[in-house]
Amino acid sequence: MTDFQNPLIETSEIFAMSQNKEIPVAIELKDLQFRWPKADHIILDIPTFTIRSQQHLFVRGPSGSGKSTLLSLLTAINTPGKGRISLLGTDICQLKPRQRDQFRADNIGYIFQQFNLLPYLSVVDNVCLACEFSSKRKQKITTKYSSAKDPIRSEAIRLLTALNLPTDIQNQKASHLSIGQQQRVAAARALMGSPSLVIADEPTSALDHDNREAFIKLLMQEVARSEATLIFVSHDPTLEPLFDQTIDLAQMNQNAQRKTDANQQGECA
Amino acid sequence: MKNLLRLAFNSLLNRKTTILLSIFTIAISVLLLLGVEQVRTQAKNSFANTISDTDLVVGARSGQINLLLYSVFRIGNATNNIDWKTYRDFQNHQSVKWTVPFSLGDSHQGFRVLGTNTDYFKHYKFGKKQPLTFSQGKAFNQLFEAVIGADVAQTLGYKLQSPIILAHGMKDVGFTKHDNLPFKVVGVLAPTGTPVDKTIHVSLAAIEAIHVGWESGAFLGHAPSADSLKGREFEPKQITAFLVGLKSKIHTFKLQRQINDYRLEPLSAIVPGIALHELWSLMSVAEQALLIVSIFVVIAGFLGMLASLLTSLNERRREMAILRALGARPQHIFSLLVLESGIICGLGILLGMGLLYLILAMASPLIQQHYGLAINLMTLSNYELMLIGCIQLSGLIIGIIPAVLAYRQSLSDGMTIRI
Repeated sequence: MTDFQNPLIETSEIFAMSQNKEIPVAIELKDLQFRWPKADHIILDIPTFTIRSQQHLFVRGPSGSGKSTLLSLLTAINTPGKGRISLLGTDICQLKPRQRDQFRADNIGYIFQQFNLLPYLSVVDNVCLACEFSSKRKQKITTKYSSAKDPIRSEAIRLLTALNLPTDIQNQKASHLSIGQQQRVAAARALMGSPSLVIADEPTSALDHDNREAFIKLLMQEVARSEATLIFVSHDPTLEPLFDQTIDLAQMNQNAQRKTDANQQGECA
Repeated sequence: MKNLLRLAFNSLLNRKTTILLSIFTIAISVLLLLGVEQVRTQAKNSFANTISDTDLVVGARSGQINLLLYSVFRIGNATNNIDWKTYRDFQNHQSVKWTVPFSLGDSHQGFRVLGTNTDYFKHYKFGKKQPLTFSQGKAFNQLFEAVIGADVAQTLGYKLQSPIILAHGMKDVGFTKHDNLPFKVVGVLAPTGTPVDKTIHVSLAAIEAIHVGWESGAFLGHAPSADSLKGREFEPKQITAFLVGLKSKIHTFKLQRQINDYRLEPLSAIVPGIALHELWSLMSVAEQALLIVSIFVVIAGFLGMLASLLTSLNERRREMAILRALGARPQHIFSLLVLESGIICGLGILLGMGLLYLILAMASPLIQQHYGLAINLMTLSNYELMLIGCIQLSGLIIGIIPAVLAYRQSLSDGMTIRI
């Protein structure tokens, strides 16, 4: 398919070999190509890529390397022009838009870079919002708290407490919180109803170093507790050691590689 | 849907200043539209309720609106008088069941004085054939006794036995007053919401009596004493108009034609319902103009709401992206925006209706007092409910514009917002 050595295949193969074969595959990409409408060049070109369940994956890459595009594909907002995306065993390219939205509501917890919360809702209501569009997530919580009067709220409060958010701010408006607190609320919302995939898009970019590390550790603890697969996107290489596995998107993306090589050849000449 | 409604409501609360302004704009336009409609309908009803169960109004030859205005509404003046003999002729007509003579021309502190007989209290009906009733006292049966309308009593603070000095014509100045012949209030009529409330009723004989010495139109003779007049019999020579009730309604047009063709004197007979309709249709141009202005105000209100929704849309792209990340479909985003505009519109309508009733409750005594129009706090008519329905529907339709834009944005933005 290509003259270039693809570090992705190598990485995923090594990773797969080192893992227990019994652990199911969470994400599988095959021959994936994506081009934005009206754009000249392909922004993502990934021959193959696999992540097993409960893996904590760090995805890094410079600006323009296609991080956001990859996330829009993994969250089933966009579909690739070519190739296959399998999430939790479901080929999401085969789903209708409505089914893809439902799949996202049921299985994906998403943390934005910043401005994660709806400012007009209270902290607890923001967290509970995760169950508004998913009866599956609601059901999971209801089963867990069968005796509670309001199971959704109980789970929201449990998650917020576990993420070190003081009880007295849980009923405040989300707009009253600091950025660090907002990110923890966003993490709580992403974990509500234990979705199988948690995707975090540079959630620590607005935090200082200490808060950043504390946030990631708390996030990982809770992700491990809910047995979810974590995909953490950042351009900050200092966070890399905190994760089981790292992928450099610039290397993954053949297009970027080709461009880099061409530039290198140009420089040599 | 319930959750979306809650979200929409909370989102609106978050932008309360601009949204409150939008709600007020809609409320004011609704207030104006319904207000115009209420005043129009009630003024029409009040007009139509002025006289009922009277088959013909007869006066000297003139246009039917002029005759209606001076005889029933006490507005303007008669073109001429009717001879008493003519009145007697028609009083004894075989088709006629009852007649009530009217003699107008005097006043008391701006209130018209009506000379009539006691048949007036028996046969004059207003609204839905409601007869006149006394809140105090009784009808006159002596020469210098008067029965006053509810407004006269209230405005001038008159009670039973209060003295009244009538004035010749509508000018209540010294040299035109019949001040040597004071009247005494013997009855106060219950409010009717008609010009009756603003009228002072005396007997026809009293009208004749106070004009002894005024034959030339001004007082030139000597002043007879009340006692000397009381002993005399007065038969009017002329009256201004008279009301006719027929034995059978079938004869209405036949008698009308006979009166209009009366050879001895030029007369006009009008059917009050038809004249009222003609009078009202004269005002329909103004009525339509008011309605059109109110509709334009409603449109302006909607444009204001649309502007505020569109302005906020760009700021809210991240909000939409969050909802999309949580599994909301573009249709949910669409519905959210339409619901928001529906809520603004609904609250505007409720506020507008609240303001309307508040203003009507506060203003109706003043309107009644100054214009004689009885405005009642009524439930909304089907037409008004339809108007409200149209406004609410338009609010939802207007909401489609920002909703389509938000729908498109949420499709293209996905979860990456670049503002």
